[in-house]
Amino acid sequence: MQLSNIRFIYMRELRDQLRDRRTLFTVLILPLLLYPLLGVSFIRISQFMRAHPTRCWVVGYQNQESLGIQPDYAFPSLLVDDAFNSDFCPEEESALLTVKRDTGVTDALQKLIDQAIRNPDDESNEGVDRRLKIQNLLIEEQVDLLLYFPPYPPGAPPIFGADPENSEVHSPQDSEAIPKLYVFGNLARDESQIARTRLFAVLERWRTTIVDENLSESQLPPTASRPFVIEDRDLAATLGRQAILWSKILPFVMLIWALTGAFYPAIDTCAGEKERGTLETLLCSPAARSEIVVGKMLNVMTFSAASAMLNLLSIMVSGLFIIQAFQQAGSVLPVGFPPPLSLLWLSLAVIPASALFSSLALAVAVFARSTKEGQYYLVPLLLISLPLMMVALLPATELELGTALIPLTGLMLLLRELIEGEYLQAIKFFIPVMMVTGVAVWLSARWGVSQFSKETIIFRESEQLGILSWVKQLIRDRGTYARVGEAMFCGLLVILLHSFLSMLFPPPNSWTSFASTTAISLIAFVATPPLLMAIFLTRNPFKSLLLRWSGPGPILGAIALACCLHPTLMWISHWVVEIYPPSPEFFTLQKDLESVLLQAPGLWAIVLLIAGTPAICEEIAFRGFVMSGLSGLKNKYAAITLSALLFGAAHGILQQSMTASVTGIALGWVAFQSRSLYPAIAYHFTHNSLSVLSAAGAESQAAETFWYPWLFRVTTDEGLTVVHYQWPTTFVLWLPAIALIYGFAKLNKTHQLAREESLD
Amino acid sequence: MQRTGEGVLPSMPQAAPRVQGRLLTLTLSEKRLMIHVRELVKSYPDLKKGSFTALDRVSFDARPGEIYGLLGPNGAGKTTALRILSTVLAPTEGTVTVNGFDVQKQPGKVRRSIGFVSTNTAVYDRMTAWEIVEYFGRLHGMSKQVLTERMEFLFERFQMNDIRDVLGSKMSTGMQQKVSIARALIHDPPVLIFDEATSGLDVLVAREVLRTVASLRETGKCIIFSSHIMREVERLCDRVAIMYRGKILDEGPTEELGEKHGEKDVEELFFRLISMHELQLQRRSLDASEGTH
Repeated sequence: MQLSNIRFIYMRELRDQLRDRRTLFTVLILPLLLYPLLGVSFIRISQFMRAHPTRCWVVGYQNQESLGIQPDYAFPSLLVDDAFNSDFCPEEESALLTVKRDTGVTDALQKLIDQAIRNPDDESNEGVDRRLKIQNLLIEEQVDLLLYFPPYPPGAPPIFGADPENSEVHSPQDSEAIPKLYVFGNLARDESQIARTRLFAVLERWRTTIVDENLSESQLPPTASRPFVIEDRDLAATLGRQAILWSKILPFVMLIWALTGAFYPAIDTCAGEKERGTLETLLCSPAARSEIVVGKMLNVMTFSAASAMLNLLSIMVSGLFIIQAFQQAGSVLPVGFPPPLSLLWLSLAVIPASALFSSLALAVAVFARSTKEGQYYLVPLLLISLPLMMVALLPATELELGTALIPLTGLMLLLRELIEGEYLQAIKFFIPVMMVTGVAVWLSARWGVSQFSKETIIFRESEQLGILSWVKQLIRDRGTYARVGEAMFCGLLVILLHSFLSMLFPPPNSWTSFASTTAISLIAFVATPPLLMAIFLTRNPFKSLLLRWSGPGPILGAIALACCLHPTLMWISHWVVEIYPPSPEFFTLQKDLESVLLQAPGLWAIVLLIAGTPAICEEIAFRGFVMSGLSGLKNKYAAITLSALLFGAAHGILQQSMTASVTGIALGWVAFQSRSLYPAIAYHFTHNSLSVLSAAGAESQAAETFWYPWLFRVTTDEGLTVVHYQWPTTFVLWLPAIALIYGFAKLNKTHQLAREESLD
Repeated sequence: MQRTGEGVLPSMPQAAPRVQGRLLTLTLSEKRLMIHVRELVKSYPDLKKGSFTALDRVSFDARPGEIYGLLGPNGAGKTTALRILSTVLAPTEGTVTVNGFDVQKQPGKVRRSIGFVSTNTAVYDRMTAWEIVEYFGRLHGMSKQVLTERMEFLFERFQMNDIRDVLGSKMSTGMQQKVSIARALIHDPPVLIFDEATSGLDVLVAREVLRTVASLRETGKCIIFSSHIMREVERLCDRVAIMYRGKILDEGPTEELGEKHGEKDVEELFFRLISMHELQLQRRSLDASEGTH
């Protein structure tokens, strides 16, 4: 690749985009305007909300006697003149909750209220009409609420001030005797809701005062009614408290704008150039395809990153002003200023995020023949990305191994931890998050380059897609091996079938049920799909599944390599468990499994089931069909790695998946280099057998022998026996392992599975 | 023949010794092949048929100082052949060399040897004429000084100085085609490919383009000129290949073809060859169906 060509292409694209008003508006101008405008609108609206006065119509209240309180009790009155008592309604609240006071009540209103009190849930025409009448009355009187004090029944015994012995109210069960206040409001109106909240606060204070006075009169302490008071103490640092909202908002804004910012430039630079006919001219220039793609990708990335950063800056500056405005107005907001370091973390994270979205958007956009078509294609990209981002916003979602391995979700959660200042947690999962993000960027960039290299995509004509024609074509144009797409589909299908359909089986409670469910699920869900696909989609199922005799050498070599690498792989497995501890359920499952295995007729049966069956079924699927199909990528390392990752993903438990992926690479290497599945089966069988035998050996007489401690060290973890290889054993076995890997390397120096002479 | 003087495009100094001088004293057959196409096949995947053959064992050669015409209706395979020559498409079978470089093994060197002008003027909307030509010059690795000199010359030659700072979107089709030709000539390639370059142009601009093509021949360029307009090809090309449904039905100098098939008029010759081809196809299918019975 010539850097000068990439630079020329990048500079041209950049200049071109900077002259495009649509791109400029969407990517650069909109973010600068959007948040300040939203902020100003928010301040305006909140000012309106805060300053909006409400009016309460108090009907029937004369004095404390309205509640049956004896006049000789000096209880504070709710109303003083035509306003709420300032003891219950401070001055600033009083200005927002004015009072219209009517000591008396008209007969018509009295009748309406009485009926409304008696039939609160009356949904008949009459009831609805009555409610409407009261609503209209509120409008006519220009009030938002009606607080109604019903007349205290004349002659009824007083509630307070009477001799407690003679009082009618003795226990809480006599709730009917407690005086009631009625609040009528139209809660469909915001003003009525606001007035209600304010009025309830005033009434609560009044009630508390009455209770306290009453207790005091009765010579009871206030704890009689309030046994305790709750005081909330937040231990979070001010910065941490302020960061919590920003830590969710800022990564989301960054990612969503990195994606949106990549859209327009990607469509314009690919589909737009196709439409204008300039792409063909560029392809005729000395610039290589890879240089063109990289130049374009860098340009899209520039706009994606610029858009994300401008949005972040704009939202942070706007937020700063809004918070300041509220603070100056004396309001307390649940959010503080954005943490200053957040911009640093976000600006570092925007690089891989933009690279990912740019290469994806470019790869998708190049498929489109016009800008209009490009917009349709990019919508699915948004629909796939959004849920991954939304997952990270859920309150229960935390950064852990599982979430760290999800593209975008992991990145967003990592940013959240960094913004909140949880650096230890962030460091712990930094490598998995960056690894997944890096792999995603690499894969999408490779996809972008490959899309540009395909003439069927660059010069795509409109075509009518018929399912039947497509199926016919799949069968008619079968090759020796599966196509790359078919191989990927098979891998994903096996993972889905194995993961979901295995759940249908009840948990095994005996050796027989365990053996049958394991064997059935491996044969039916792992081996059958690739076998059927090989029969229908390839010309020679034996060849496509690599079922060719390799000779005894590679098979013996694979067995020896499995023995030599087993200690290293076991160490990797232990490290994974130590760094990312499994859940308690995992240990419970392992214990259940151990108890089931104890019921096995013999060690041979366990080896046959745990080593033999997967060695055949999984190898047919992942090395046989999937890896041989992926050899269509013309790069054996890519084929081996991808098939290993799919093999790892097929193992349900995450910690197990990571080790299985590494083992998958060794299996893939053996199969690809020998061009045969048999050495891989031999390796797989040996590897699994060694795991079974080493675990069984720890609890048998072998552990008593003199040589056992030289090779192994046994520990227990959560009640489970764990066998470790000794370090010297592991190191010593590396030497023959390297020699064997080198030996396999010499078997096939090409990136093809088929030998030249046997190419179809 | 006029070799120098008004209307003739001089080549860049570094390219001149190869095409000028000795070249002029050679006959066409003596000159080394600039374009060599043998048994070229191009198939596309087709959902219904499995594959569609756009080019079926096509062979032709072209030499420096020659205009080689590809004449055929739409869908004959002209554009596919030219796209393979410019390395934009890869051949399914056969060998193609341009200026001695294999299109599959040395695509970069092939692209440095050609200038491509297509039906679609392919001018960037948001770039000025000067910027467009300069951009392609830079991609061809030209130094700033050489590039500026060359651009000054081309803009003068094609009377484009008035539109130096005009954006592509503001140019007329004629202007765009001029820019397109200047862009293709900026690195002074020994091979020029014109794919339906006059299609959609008004008579005056088309005439100007044809004159330019003719003048380029005088500088020793090897030119492939594809068109479906018979008169253009007849007037301009030294040799012509008549293409139909992915095949070359016949090729040679227009006079020789006329004598061979007893048709002086190229248009008549074209229709005659096509109808003969169709007849042959019908006979073959008839024979095949009889054979099966």
